[in-house]
This record gives sequence, C-alpha cells and structure tokens, in this order.
Amino acid sequence: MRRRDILALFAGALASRPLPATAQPGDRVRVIGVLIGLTEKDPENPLRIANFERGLRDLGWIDGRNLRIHYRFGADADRLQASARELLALQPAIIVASSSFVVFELLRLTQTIPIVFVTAADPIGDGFVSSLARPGRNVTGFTSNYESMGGKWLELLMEIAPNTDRVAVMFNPATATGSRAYFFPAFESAARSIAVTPVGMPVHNAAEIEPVLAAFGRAPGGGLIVTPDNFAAVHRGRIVAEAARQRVPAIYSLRYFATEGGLMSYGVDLLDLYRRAAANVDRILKGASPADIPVQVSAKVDLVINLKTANELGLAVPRIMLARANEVIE
Amino acid sequence: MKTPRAGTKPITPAQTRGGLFRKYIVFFVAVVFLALAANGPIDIWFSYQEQRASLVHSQREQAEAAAARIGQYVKEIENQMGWMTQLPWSASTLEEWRFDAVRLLRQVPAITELARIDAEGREQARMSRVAMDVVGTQSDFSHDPKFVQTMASKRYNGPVYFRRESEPYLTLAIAGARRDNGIVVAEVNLKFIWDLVSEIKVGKRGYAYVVDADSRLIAHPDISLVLRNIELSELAQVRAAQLSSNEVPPEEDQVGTDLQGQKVLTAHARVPSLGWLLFVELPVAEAYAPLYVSIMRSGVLIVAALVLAALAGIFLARRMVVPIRALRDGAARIGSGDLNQRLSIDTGDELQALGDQFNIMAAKLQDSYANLESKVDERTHQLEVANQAKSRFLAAASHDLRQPLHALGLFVAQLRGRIRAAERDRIVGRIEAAVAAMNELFNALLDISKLDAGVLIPNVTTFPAAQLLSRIETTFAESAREKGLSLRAVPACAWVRSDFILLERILLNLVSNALRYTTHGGIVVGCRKRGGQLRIEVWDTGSGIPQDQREKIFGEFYRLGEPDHDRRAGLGLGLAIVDRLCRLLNYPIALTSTVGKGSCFAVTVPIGDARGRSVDVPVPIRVPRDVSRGKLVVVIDNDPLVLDGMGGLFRSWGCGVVTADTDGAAITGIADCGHVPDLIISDYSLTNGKTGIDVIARLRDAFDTPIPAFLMSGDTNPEPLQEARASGFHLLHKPVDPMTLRAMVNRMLKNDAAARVRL
Repeated sequence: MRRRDILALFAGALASRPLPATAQPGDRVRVIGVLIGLTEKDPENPLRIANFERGLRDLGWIDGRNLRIHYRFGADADRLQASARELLALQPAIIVASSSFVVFELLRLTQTIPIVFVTAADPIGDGFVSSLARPGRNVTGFTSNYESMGGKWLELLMEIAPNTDRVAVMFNPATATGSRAYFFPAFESAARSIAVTPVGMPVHNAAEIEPVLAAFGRAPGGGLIVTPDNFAAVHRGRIVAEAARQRVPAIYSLRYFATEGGLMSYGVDLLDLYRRAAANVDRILKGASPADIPVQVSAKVDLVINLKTANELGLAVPRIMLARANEVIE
Repeated sequence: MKTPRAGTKPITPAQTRGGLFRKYIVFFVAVVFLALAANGPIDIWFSYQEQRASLVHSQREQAEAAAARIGQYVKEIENQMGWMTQLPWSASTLEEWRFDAVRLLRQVPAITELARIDAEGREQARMSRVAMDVVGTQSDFSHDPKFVQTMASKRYNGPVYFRRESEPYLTLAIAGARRDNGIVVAEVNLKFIWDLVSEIKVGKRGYAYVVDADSRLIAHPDISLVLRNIELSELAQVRAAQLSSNEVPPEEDQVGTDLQGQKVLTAHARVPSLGWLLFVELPVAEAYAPLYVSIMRSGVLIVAALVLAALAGIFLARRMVVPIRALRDGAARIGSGDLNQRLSIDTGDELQALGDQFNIMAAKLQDSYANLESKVDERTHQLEVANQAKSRFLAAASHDLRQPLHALGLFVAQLRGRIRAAERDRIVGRIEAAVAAMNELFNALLDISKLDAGVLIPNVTTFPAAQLLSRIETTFAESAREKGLSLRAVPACAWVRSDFILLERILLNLVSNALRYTTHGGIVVGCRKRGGQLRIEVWDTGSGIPQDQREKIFGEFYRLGEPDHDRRAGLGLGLAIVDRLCRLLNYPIALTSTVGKGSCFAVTVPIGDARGRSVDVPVPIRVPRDVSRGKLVVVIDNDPLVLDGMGGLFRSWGCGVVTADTDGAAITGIADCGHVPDLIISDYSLTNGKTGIDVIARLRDAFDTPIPAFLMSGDTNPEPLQEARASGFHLLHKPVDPMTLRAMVNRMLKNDAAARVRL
C-alpha cells in the first residue's frame, strides 16, 4: 500500500460519509402509472399486476410505501386515450405499457414521460425505438423480436395437425399494424416451402371475428395462427370459442390463449416479462434515461399444448411435441 | 521582614500564575493524544490490510466459483451435443436425432439453434427455437471455420457475437467420435451467463462481469452495457489479466478502475476452455466503508479522549495547583510578617502533609519569636536588677566608707585639742582601728572587683587538705576564744587539687562568717570524700538562715538580721566573695540551715593525686632583712597628699626619696640627688593621660637601667588592672597598708640585689 492510498483512504473517509444514497429507493414516494390494454375486468390483470409488483418488491420498491402505482385499463383506442390522459394528469415518473398498441396510444400524448413496454413485437418497425441497443427516445422495453416466429408457428401447427393445407394469420390491421408485416414474410415463405396455402385474415372489429372464422372454417384443412395483437388478447375468448366451434386447429402467441381453451401457444412468457419490466422501472426511477436502456429480447419461449382441445379436435399429439412442450394442459 | 530588600525580593505571583496548571493540562492532553494518535493509524492500517486481503480473497473465490460454473455449464452442453454425434448421419436416424435435439432444446433453454453438419460439411438438419426446423438443406459449411476447426480439434467455440446487435451468442460445435459422424453446432444464448453473473453479490454494490478473449464485455449485471457491445481492454485490470497467464494476479493489480471511473477492488478467474475472464469487483468506497467508519470512530474517540484528558488534567492540576498556590500565598504572607497565617489543605496526600509541615513551621516560627521577645524582656530585667544591685552596692559601699571616715574626722579634731597622753594613745588606737576597718573594706571591694574583672587566674596545685584546715584553725583560734566559742578543724588525710590561696580565702570567709553569726556553741570545719571529690564543710551553731534569704546572703553588702548594724557584724561582702570565688573555680557551694540551730556551708573541691607530690605550700613570709635603708626611691603620683605621706614614710624607713607628679619632674629631682634610683613606685593613672607604665619606661630609658619598679593604683576598673597586669609590673591597690608597702619594697630591692649578684 502506497502513501497516496493511505491519503486516499482518509480522504475517502471524509468524502464518503454518509455513503451515497442517491440510488437507494425510499427517499420519497414516487408515482408511476401502468396502462394495460385489456378491459378492467380481465382475469389476466391481477396476474400481471402481481408479477410486476413482485419484481418491484425484489428491487426495494413497495406500492404504498415508497411508490404509488396507478393502474389504468383500456381495451380500445378511445378507452386507452382516456386512461392515458388520467395517468398523465398524475404526472407519473414512468408509464408501463402492456403492448405495442398501448405504446402507440401513449406516444400520441407524450414524448417525454418514460414509457416501458412489457412486450412489443416490433418496436423498431413501430417506430418506438431507433435500435434495440440504443432506443434513443422515451421508450424502452422487451420484445420477442423474431420475425422467423411466423415460420415456427406454422411448423408447430403442421406438426400437431399434419392434414392442414391452408393456414390463416389473423390480425387487426388497426391494432397490429406492425405485426402483420413483421411475421408474415417468414410465415408465407415457410408455408410455400411445405405446400401450405398462406392466408391473411384481417379482422377489423370484434363483430367480424365469428363471421370471418366461420367462413374460413367452412372448408376442411384449415389452420389458424393468431399473432401477438392487443385486439386478439382483448377478444381471445371469442376467437378461441369460434375456432373450436369451427374445429380449426389454432396456434397463439401467448400462454393464456391455451389455458383458456386454445389448442396451443408458443411465445414469450408474458408474466415473466412483467416481472422483468420492474428492472427497467427501477433503473429509470434511479435516474437512467430510457433512451440508453436497450430493448431486451426475451430469450424464454414456451410451448403450451392444451391436450383437451386437441382431443376435441381429434388430433393426436406426437411424442416429439410433448417432449418439446413446456406445459401440457389436460 | 517589613520591607523586602532587593536581593530577597519575593517572586511576584504574576510571574508564575497558571504555569503549572497549563503544563499539567498540556502534558495530559499531549500524552493521551500521542497514545491515541499512534494507536488509531496502526489499528486502521492493520484493519485495512486485513479487510482488503479478505475482500480480495472472497472476490477471487466467487470469481473462481462462477467461472467454474460457467465452464461446467458449457461442458455439459458439449457433453449433450457429444451424444448427438454418436451415430453417423443418415435418413434413418433423423427422427431419433430430432428427438434428441428437441430434448436438448427443452433441457437447455440457452440453446436457440442446433444444426447437424455431415463429414463433408453439408448441413443436414437445423432445429430452431424461433424458426421453422429444416431438414436436408445441404448448405455447404465445408470451408466455414467452425466446421474446419471442429473437424480438426473435435470441439470449437467461436467468438461471442450479437444477434441484432443486442443478443450475445456463442457458437459451440462438437465433432463426433468418428470422423464421418460429422459435427453438431449449437447457437447458445449467453443470457444465462448474465443471470449467473447477476447473482454474484459482493457487498452492496459489488458485481461481476465476464469478458471474452478479445476483452469484449459479454456479461454484466447492467445488461445495457453488454448490449452496447463494448470492449474493455482499456481497463488496466482487464489488460493485465489478458496478458498474464497467471491465475493469481500480483498484489498491485488488486485495485483497478471500473467503467464509471470509480476505484474498485478487483479479482478475476479464467473460465475453463473458453478463454474468458470473469471479474468480480467491489467499489473501493464500499470496501473501505468499515475502515472509514473505523477512522471516524477513532477520530471521535480521540476527540472524546482529548476532552476527557483535558478534564482530567484540569481536575488533577486543580488538585495540585490549588494547594500549591495556597502554600505560595501562605508563604508570601508569612514572609510579609503575618505569623498567624495557617493553611487549610485537605487533599489527604503529600500536599496536605506539606501544608501541615508548613503550619508547624509557622507555629514554631511564631513561638520562637515570642520566646525571643520574652528572653529580651528577661535579659532587660536582669540588667535592671544588676543595675539596681550596682546602685545598692555603691550606696552600701559609700555608706560603709563614710562611717569610719566620719569617725576619723572626729578623732583628728580631738587630737588638735589639749589632751592627755593616755587619751591621745586611745584616740590614735581608734584612728588605727578606723583606718583598719577602711582598709579591710577596700581589700574586700578590691577582691570583688578583681573577681568581677576576671583578672584572677587560679594557680592550681595539689596539696593536703589538712594543711589548709590547720591554717584556718590557727587564724581564727584567737577570735573564737575571745567570743567564747569552740573552733575545731577535723583532721583530714585527703589531698585536694586547687588554688591554695583562693580556696583558703573561701574558707576564711566562711569561717569568719560563721564566727560572726554565732554567739554560743562553736564552729566545726571538716571534710568528707564524695566520689572523686572532697566536700569541705563549715558547721556553726549560729542563728541559722531563713529559707527566703538563702539566695540573698550571697549578694553584696547583705547582712543577716541586726538592724543596729554593728560594724563588727562585718561588711556583708564575705559570702559575695565566696560566691564569686566558687564560680571562678567552678566549685559547687551548698547551704543547709535550720533557723535557731545553725548552718552548714559546704564547698566541693576535686581530690588531688598525692603520689609523688612534694608538699608545695607557700611558706609564710619571713621577716625581711631591712634592705631599704639608704636606697633612693622615686615616687610618682599626681596627688600631693599621697606624695607627702609616701615621702615621710620612706624617710622614716631611712630611704632617700624623690617625689614627683610627672616623669619630667622626677628626672629633675633625681638629677638633684646625683644618684641612679634604686626603685620606682608610680601611680597607674597620671595626668595628661599618661600611665605609670609609660613613666617607668621613660625613667628606665633615661638611666638606661632596668630599675626595679611597681605600680600603685586607686582604680577599681577592670581595664587598668588588666593593662597593668599585662605590663608585667606588680600592682598594689590603694589604700596600701604600710606593712604591705614595706614588704613589696623589700622584695623588689632584694630581687634586684640578687639579680645584680648573679650578674
């Protein structure tokens, strides 16, 4: 140890007392908002909230103590606009957005308040960030970020329903603007490579769900892919129910489609992302800029198979599918 | 001390005020400060070393553990992939291989893609987590490095790369056991390493990260840093670690700087087989936080201890200094004469003892002052008593002289008248008696005067007591018979060592005194041996001496009893002379007496050793041959009456006489005679301040002959007596008895004649 180290030691003793506490939660009560693009009564909400708050708690942020979390909901653009205005009126430090659609609505109201999205299929394509490594604006979050997933969904659907010869991708052009362009090319090329007819299935409102699916299901050999889309999430009950009624094997991007009766889902673990979103909230509350926080790609991709639905559809799930599945619902 | 002199000026309090007090406090504080100041840094130094060593040690352990886990993880993936290359590729094994691949993907979420390439470098199958699985693409990888290297060295791991600039990926490839089995290639997402690294906790703000062989950051708790794909070779510790193959970095490299520029304690470990480095770092600020706390604590402790030391110093200094100041002030007040000053120091220690000693000293000082004063008073009183005694003595002496003088005047007047021869003889007898009385008085006074003047030097010899006693008996036998008293000297065989004449004088006075106060019965003189001494006792059956007068009888002119003051009762000087002689000879004198029965005076004298001693007793003076007839005698005196009387006396003895009042007149007179004088008799005190000694010397010079000479003096002052004695001349005291004078003249002339014969 050299003398200057000793001096530094003493200087440190004087300079570092008390230890820097600027990064510690708990200085004052911070206000954040959470905007979820579902109806307020959606049973998914409590799960998301619980995971999000658990993630915050692990980082030292506790609602009601050093943090005040305001939750708002909205299943459609108007409702989201109103909720977003309410949240903005509270002048939150951050707004957590559940999906691309919610981010899109928020960005129409603010360009400054940090926004953390829990999942966005194509944040670059939607114009939320300039690059994943350096978002550059007031928005950051998590993405599934694999356009190749279009082909993967098709492969998995074909594996469980090998007799399918045409597959439709359902999307709402209003809420999933980027989604269609993002996944569709990979899906289309994959479909052609295995002689399956790719079909675009735009749905513009809830009322169109049943008629469109009924029309598609009239002929046999049809399969359905529902890409990540706020619209699909909101109306998942009607979609799953109509697919079953039309006996169309379908694959979805999120687990709760499968748990609510969908045949299978393959995609990110959304609840895990809510937990991980807390880390971004933490960093922003501690002073980091969302422009510098890279958008993370969710590495965890789960396969969930609903055996009950498969049986109802008369589908035999191959052994390799069961081996691949993270969760099998019986 | 009323006013301090310059030399003993006391130190003023202002010069020393507070000095000790300050010194005490400064000393205390300095000692405590030094002790703590020495202890603090040493303590901190050791805890710094220990803290640092233990932190670095723990960091290295964590780094090594994490690196081992990463290595293990990769190793397991490789093992699994190894199973998938057990069999050579063929269409029949496709399903089996797919199944294995699905299982591997299921087991290892980090693997995003698995590919099988045959021995020719053709891709046969590709299983993906996020894309459609494909079979038999036949893509050519034969020149791809991963294929070439894997075929060459059985395994391969490529550089870490980022998918879409954000996802770290590693390509792993394993070759089959046999060459024609081909290889399996896996694209491994490295986020699992991030999770692993995020779990490593060092202190509160410590962290771990991993760099690859090119120093690119591939894992860090702050994922954004990794996603930015940064390169860390500018960090000193990374550079040093890359350069050194050594697992244990040297001491100097334990401190580095992290990306934020803050100092960190760093340790690293190498991930087996991948060539990566795992660093565990802890901000120095946190690592040393306990030290800073320790330093602060030491500081607070030092300050507290200093305050305590100051308080203790003040307390002790007060305990010391307050009593010392009290002592100083007390000493100053005593110095200024206030002897009543006492100190009250109640500290129960040496200072209190000092204060007590101080008080004792002051008390003694006060006592000795008082004592001195009383002594002065006593001495003054003694002087007054002595003065009064002197006055009484003079009054008594003059009274006792006046009486015979008065009688003489009356007798001389009677002689002038016509009287018969018988009447004249009676009157002449009375005149002679009066003169004898006066003579006796003057002799006694002279004795006292000589004793007081201290000019008597005892001539101590050894002689038999019997000799002395018999002389006493002889001397007083007649007087005793006349008074009808018995006088007996008890024979004694002892020898005494004393001055014969002075001891005889003592006894003469005592016996004379006894005779005087005894009217019936008798006197006994006897001796008793007491140890080495002889007690000579004179017993009488006289009136006795009352208790209250036993001291007074030794005073001058003190006579016991008779108010009628018979001259025969004595002069009252006898015992005074005895007292003085005894004191001169240092003989104790004792008196026992019973009123009406008698008294006993006892003198204790030393016994002499008789052996080999001849009897040395002054022989009685023989009646001298008349040597004076026809001699020329010079008499010098300033009193014409004395000159006249002396001249007549010498002429009646048949001498030639020259009388003069000065030496000059004497020389003139002698010149008239034309004869060198045979004897010079001079008064001691002459006119013009000259002394007899001067005159005798002048005459001797004038005739160049040591003419015999002696002095006469009426002085009783000690000084002339001592001077005369020092000159070597004999001195006769006036009044001089004609017999005494004749004896002296004859002795002088006879000695002179003898000297001349010898010459």
